[in-house]
Amino acid sequence: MCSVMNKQLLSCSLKIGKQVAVVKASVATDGVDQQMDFSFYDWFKKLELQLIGFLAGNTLIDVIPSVSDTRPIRLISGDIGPFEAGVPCKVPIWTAILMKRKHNCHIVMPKWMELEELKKLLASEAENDGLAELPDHFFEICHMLVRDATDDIYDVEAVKSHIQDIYDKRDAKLRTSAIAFLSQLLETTAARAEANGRTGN
Amino acid sequence: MSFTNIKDLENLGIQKICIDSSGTDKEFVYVCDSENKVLKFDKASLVSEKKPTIIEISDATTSSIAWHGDKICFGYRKVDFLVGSEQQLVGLVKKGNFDADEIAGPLEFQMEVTAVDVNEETVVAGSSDYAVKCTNLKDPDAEIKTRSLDAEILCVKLDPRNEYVAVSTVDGNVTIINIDSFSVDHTLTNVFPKFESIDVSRARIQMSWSKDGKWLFIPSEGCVKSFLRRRWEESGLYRLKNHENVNFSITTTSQCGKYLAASSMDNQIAIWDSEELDLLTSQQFKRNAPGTTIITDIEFSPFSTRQLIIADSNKGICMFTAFEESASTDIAEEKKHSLDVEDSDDDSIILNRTSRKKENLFDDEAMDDDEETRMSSDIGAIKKQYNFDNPDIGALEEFGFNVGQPDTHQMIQSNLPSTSTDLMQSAFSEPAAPRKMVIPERFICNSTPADSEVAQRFLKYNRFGTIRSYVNEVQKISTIDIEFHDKSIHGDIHIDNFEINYELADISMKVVALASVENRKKEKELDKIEDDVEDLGTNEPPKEKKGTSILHVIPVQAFDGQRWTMTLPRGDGCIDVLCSNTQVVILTKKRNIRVFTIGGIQRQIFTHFAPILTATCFDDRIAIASVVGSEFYEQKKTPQWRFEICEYSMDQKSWYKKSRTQGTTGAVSRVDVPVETGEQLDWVAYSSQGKLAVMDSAYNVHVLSAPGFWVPIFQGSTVLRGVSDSLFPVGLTDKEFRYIYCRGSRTPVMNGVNAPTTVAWKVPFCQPESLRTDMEHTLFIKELALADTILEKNGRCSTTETAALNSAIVKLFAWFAKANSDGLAAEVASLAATIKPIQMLCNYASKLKKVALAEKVAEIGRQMTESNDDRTGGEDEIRPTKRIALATRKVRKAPSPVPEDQDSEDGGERNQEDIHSRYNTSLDVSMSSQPVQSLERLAKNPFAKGAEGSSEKEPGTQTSLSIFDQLETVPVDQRKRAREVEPTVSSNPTARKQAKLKFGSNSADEHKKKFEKTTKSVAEIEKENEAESPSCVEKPVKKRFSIENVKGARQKVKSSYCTNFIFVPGPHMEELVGF
Repeated sequence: MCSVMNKQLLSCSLKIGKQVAVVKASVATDGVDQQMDFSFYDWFKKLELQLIGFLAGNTLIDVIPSVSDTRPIRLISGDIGPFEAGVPCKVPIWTAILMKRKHNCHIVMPKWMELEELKKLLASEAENDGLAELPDHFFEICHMLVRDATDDIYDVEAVKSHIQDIYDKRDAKLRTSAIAFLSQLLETTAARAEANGRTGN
Repeated sequence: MSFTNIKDLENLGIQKICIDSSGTDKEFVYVCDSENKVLKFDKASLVSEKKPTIIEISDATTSSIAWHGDKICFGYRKVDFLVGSEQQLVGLVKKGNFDADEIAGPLEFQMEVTAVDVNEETVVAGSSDYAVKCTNLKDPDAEIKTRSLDAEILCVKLDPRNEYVAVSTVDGNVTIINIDSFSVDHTLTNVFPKFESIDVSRARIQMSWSKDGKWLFIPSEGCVKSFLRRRWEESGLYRLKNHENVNFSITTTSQCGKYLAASSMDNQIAIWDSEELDLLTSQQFKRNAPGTTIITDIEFSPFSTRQLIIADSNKGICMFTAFEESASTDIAEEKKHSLDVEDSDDDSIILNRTSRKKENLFDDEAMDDDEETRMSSDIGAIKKQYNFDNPDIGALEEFGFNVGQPDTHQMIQSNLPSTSTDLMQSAFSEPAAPRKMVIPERFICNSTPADSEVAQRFLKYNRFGTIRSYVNEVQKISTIDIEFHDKSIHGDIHIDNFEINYELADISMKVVALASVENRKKEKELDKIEDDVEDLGTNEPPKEKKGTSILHVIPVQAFDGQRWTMTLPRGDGCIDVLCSNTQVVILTKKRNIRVFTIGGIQRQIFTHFAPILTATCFDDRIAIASVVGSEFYEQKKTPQWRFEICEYSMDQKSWYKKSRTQGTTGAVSRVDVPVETGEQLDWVAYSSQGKLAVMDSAYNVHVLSAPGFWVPIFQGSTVLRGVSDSLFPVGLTDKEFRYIYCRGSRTPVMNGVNAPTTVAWKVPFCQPESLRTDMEHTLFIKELALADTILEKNGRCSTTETAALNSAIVKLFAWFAKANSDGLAAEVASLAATIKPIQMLCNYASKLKKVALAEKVAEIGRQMTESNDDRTGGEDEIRPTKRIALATRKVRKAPSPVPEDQDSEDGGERNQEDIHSRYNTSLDVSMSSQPVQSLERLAKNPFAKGAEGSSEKEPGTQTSLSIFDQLETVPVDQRKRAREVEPTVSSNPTARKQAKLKFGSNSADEHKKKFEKTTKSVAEIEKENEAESPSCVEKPVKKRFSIENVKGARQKVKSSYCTNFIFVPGPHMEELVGF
């Protein structure tokens, strides 16, 4: 069971990043809430990569349109546009990607996705024992932009490399902490079982 | 660089040189040793066999001496053999009189005086007993201030500003002591390596201040450190190559303040530019004499600014010529020296070298580079010889020369009797060379500066698109990429640029223009080919040589738009290319401006009258910026220029109709350009609406408004985050400015996406965080917009902008009215361009129960109407017929509560006004748009003064009663009556509703009764006003009132003292106010 849980936990942690740390903390401080944590865990399990990507797609991003349209696109979630060619405007990422695929815009990378900023993030990740603070939907947005807006990213290979490094560092941290946690859990469980056995005896 | 013959001093050991620090005496130098001798040198005794004057001090001197003006202070020991006591004193002598009786002793120490310094009023000295003492020389009763430090004193140095004294001690620290309080202001620790005690083999750590006292120079290990005043932070290091581990011992600054000299313990002498930290010269001081030779002191020679006096521990003194001078100059100097009998100033002799014939002074090589500059002096040549040809150092000012100022020596010469005509002629033979200042370099707006080392650059980046140039000389690839921001205009265009090498470009909505500059190499090749053809044996007259500057135009939205190319004449190559939606413009070397149509027809060609700095164009207008006049200086030393923009209007259909003889300037207009102090013009462009805009090098953007003044709309300094950051302007619209923020560079990045930042126009009003300022800002912007529409004679836009302006006025009025700032509100009301908003404002003031404000606004309205009347009456010759409304007006004239005696006085005047107001056409327009009342209920001139008159007095006269006066005077009951008599005929629901508020009654008696009933004392009204109105300091609270509120307000008005006011809601008042 432990091995299975370990595996699932790790896979989940890879998807949602720092939220797992919160779950882990709650379990560590109060082992009685094990069941509840598993319900969280089930909920997280439902958050597939696609779903998280979908949620991240609502993040606003700057695009430089290549077309002009004075009429805004009216959507339930809000208006998009109007567009003036060459003048940046904010649109959801999913819109930006759609426009990009039609060659209707250039996507302006978020500032944190510039190489210098990624280097800082990587350094921060290396310095901290815990997980460093990352922008919201960091990996999802990076993934979408690297996939669909390669030509708008300066030195895209270096950017990808740094993102991968950040991912690997966090992965290693989570893996280590999860293993430590589970081993501690096992010890606790064993101790309880032993105590119960004594009491029973 | 050379040393003079070393002269022997009297004694071995530490020698201290002193010159007059006030700069008054430039004839003598004193040298104090550690025995009992003070030697007085003049120039001759230093360089020739002449003996110096030897002054013996009993009983012993201590190698410490300082001189300022007529005061010389020195440390000495006085022994009383009878008593057996020994005194360590600081002696003070005046005017060089070293007689024992004349030596005063202002300071006394317990141990040997090791350092002393003096200035105009203060003498300070340090001793081996760790004490520093100071006293004021001007005040005989001044107390002696003492401060004890932690180690033996090496050097004391008074600040030129007489605020601090710097004290170096053997423990490696430098203490800054405030002279006034004589307290330690700051301690610089471990500035130099510490040692045990003062000895000739140890560094003497002789500090020096810069001339202005801004920096303190302290010798240290491997360098001389400079410390910034007040902060006392290390601000720079003066290093000497291969001397990283050698201790510097002595520092001194030149009297001009430009140079810092230092000597090290291994006898290396170095001179730096004190401001630039550049090493100018260094030389090893060597002696073949037996014994240990260590430089114990250096000073800049008072005889010559290019020489140093060096004293060593081995009884030697000599002069070191840091910068060589030609022999002929020396001769001339000697001549002049002989001429200057008493007032001779050797420095001024050197200064005067600028006015001498220079041909014989230098070799040709030195002159080649020097003769074309204003630094054409021997010093420049000398420095050139020694590879100190830094242009910043070549100026004569570096040597203490006052370039551009009257030559002091010539002035002295002119005052002297003419002893020798030849000498005078030689002195005045050649005037000082005029200064040459190069005007700012030509640049191309919205482009990256050309740089041969840069592979990619923007030939143009504007609001239409970008044109990039990519060059790879290794692979012999050169391309131009043309991209429109709006891809629907045209797709990307890629051109091979290797052959022609276009370097200039512009892009507009309808055309792209590329141009190449002249190329000498290509011209030679062309010439060669043509010569070969001519040699074939043709007798035709020689053809005009073909140029190499080519214009290539790509129409993108033109009928049958074919690309076309034009070769410019040789010698008149292109220097800039511009294009708009209607024309292509070429600016050439000969300052010619060639205008082409988009299709390629050559149109106008004319010559610009001044050097072209930059240019831009919009539709049929061309703006060329130039520098006007020569440079000028404000307080800063940096030259400034006046910039001017000349605008040519090149309407292709009617440009020839604009004659300059018809009282105008024709198709040319000129306007000065604003730039910040010390800044230059950086950008000129037209907005999308055709407004001229400029940006200076401090990133201040100004727009030329329709009235003709430049409005600052953007201050780049507020957005710059780093010193190396910059802003690259992209374009301007009627409300926004767009730029690219360049981090760490002057130009946008070539790789990646440049995202322009858009900012709204922001005029730098005071207190920008205030909502009031925001509204004032809006008002100003609206006025500018209205001014533009007036200039363009755009009626439709003008109406819109007028409405927007009125809206801004109403909002600001409401703000002030609610804030109880009636005076400001009245000022705002007076800003209304039309009468239309006045009634709204009056109503609003009435609603707020501000009687005085309502009256004031009504008065403003009346004045405005009168002025309109006067204008109309004067201008209109054909007067319109009388309106029908006038007849009805007569019947429904409201009785006035004003006493009748006033009416009789105003009767005649009122008649006159009525006549004018009868023909008031402008009022018809303004009032017809009032939905407040139906037309027939209105007076034809609601703001006329005659409103106060009674209709009963002159029933036959066309009484013009102001609507505001009616509002103030008609009782409520009468309004009801009037409604019964005159039912509203208007179908407009608003008007119908407002008709209920109709005022006026035919019955004067009724009115009188009501009036008596309703008029209260002014005191009561004011009292109630105070009770109900909010506090003056209270900020207006946004409140949205509905029609119920309005009705409630009406009821309140009816039932309260304010019955003489009626609130008549104006058109969309609530919407305009926004409450």
